Amino acid sequence: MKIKLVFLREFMQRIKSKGFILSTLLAPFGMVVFLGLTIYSVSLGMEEESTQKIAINDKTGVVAPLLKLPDSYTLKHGVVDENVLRKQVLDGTLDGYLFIPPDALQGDAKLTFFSGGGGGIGKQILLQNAIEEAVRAARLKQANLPENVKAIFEAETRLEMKEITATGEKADTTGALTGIAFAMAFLIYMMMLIYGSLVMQSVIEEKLNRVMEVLISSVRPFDLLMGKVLGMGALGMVQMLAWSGLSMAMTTAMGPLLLLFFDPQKMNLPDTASQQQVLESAGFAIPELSPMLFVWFVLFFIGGYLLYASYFAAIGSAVESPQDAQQLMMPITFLIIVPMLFINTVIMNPDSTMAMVLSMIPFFSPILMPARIAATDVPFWEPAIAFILLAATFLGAIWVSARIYRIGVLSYGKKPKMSDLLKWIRTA
Amino acid sequence: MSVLRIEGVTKRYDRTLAVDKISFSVASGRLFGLLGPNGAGKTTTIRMITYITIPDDGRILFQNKNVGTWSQERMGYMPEERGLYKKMKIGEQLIFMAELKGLSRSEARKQVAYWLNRFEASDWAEKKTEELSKGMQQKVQFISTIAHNPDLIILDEPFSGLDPVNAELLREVILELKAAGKTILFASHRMEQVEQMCDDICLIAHGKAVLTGPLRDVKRSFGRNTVEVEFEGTDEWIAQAKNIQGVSLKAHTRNRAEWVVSQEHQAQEILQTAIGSGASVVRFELMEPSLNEIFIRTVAKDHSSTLSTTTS
Repeated sequence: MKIKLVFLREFMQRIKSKGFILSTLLAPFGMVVFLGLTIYSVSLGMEEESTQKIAINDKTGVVAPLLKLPDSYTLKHGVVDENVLRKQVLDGTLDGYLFIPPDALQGDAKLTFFSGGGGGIGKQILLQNAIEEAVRAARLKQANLPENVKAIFEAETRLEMKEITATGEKADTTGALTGIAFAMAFLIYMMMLIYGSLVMQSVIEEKLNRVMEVLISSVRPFDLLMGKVLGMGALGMVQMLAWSGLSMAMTTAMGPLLLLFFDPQKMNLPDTASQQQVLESAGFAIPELSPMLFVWFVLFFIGGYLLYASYFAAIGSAVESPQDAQQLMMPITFLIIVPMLFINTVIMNPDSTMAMVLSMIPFFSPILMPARIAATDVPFWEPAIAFILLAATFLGAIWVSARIYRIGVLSYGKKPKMSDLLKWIRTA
Repeated sequence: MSVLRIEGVTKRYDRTLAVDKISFSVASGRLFGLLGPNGAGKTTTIRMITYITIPDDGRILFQNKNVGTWSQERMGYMPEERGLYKKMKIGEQLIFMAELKGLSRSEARKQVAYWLNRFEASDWAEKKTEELSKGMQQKVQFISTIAHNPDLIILDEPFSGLDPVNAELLREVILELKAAGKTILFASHRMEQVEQMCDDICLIAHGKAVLTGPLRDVKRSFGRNTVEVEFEGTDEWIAQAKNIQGVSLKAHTRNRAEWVVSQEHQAQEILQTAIGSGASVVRFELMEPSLNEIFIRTVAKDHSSTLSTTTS
């Protein structure tokens, strides 16, 4: 009953605040703008390269003419004096020069590109590919092979991923699902950190306001702790639901927007290709999400939030300013960050034993398990067991937190250390 | 009839003994003063009465039952350090506090409206705490203590930080609540306020109750031992009077001397000495000691026999 009063106060006071309303409404717009800019910059990068002036010192005499580089590259042939070329690179007349040794057409060839440095990994990959092709072409020519053998080397091979469903087949959505897995992990991570520290601030505020002593003469500390943690959690849920709704509305609106950046002709599609087709071939196939994924996502969010928020509340009760809390927060923020270090490995290889084990550990499962469920097919028992473990850990955590909180709310003056908190837990 | 009984209560923090086997009882409808210097154990005792903390030993009975969450609803507690939610509207805040004390929402609303009106503060309901002056906040704090109509009102250093006007208003309201049959326990180290208002007292020092009872009886038990003489003319007699057995000079200004005597007849000797020396006595009074003095004497005596360390 009193938990309910504390819950309602926390929830109602905050949901009415300008900060909450603004962040709820503006964050999805921010995300869309960010996404749009990312996609836009990628599409720019595909088309435009900075112009490059490159000299080629070809000792074979046959590779250079076969070198296929983008239009933005200006090639200079003929200069063979190394010293001259070096000087030109240094004074900026040239961006670099490629040295093709006379033995480039035998065995493992090693060509060298000299430059003033920099240029990015994109340039390296581009040159590597161009050189490999040119050298191969030169060797094929020299070997004087029959046309059909040449055709074998020139043929392209592609892998198209299709997923078999009961009704037929559909385009594979691993790409999009990977994106969703990352997004889910990141969202839960953010929400646990943000709402956890909001709970902490809220407790510190009550202590600083000295409202705390009046409160605990009316409510048991445990009810106060739970009411606050639940109230703030409900607020987090509302915000996530609002964000999901808004993002869904906006992705629907975004399809046509994306089309502006992708030219069907460049993707070898007819001009009449449908929006869906264009997006699919650009790797933006929109997957169907199972409702179970959503259920697990919500459950693990709630479990993870409760686990961490109860600790944050306990820490808040012990200190008098967020600065004093820094040191005590270290072990907890560490536990939240660890799964983020593994998130890439887990999402890329969601079926590996390591991914399975990590996503079972209670402190990590809120972030890793929903991500795995999004990225692959996980048997039901795995998230079920992970969730039971998480719930059990939460019960332990709330017991520990309540004991810290009980004493923390009354302690003023001295900045407590970790050892003090441990002592409070042991105190009967 | 006693509404609150403290029986052999002990509370320890780490290795320090904050409260050491304290016993006293508070009679219904009286104004009870819990007195002692800072760090004597007043706040610790109050926290146990309000069920914020639990005694290590002994028990606390409210209306003949052990205190618990039930008794929290029947008490109103105003801590020494006042506190309100800064960004919450006064009306909402007071209703929330009253609901936490077990009132239904509609009842809480009614009571809060009544008390805001009583303090001529109805316009504040829609304001946030941070928009109010310090004095206004004190009133709101007081309303939050009494809005749920508690049987026992506990005020820890209620006058600290109040300007004279608000202090007077608070004094009036306290007496009014007492007249309405409420029991009031108030903790203070400011003896002169207690002396004016309290019916009964419990004096605590170093975690122990050193004196308990009705204020009048306590004072009477110390006898009329203070002599005040106002005079004009020579002050030679003062040096002579100092030699009287059992008499000591407490304070001395140009025309005034305050003495402490061990027996009442010594007062007459002081008077005779003064008149005999040729001074003209303007005023002579044999009085009971002030509470402040009782306090100092008791604590000094007590301190020499016990050496316990305390925290507040």
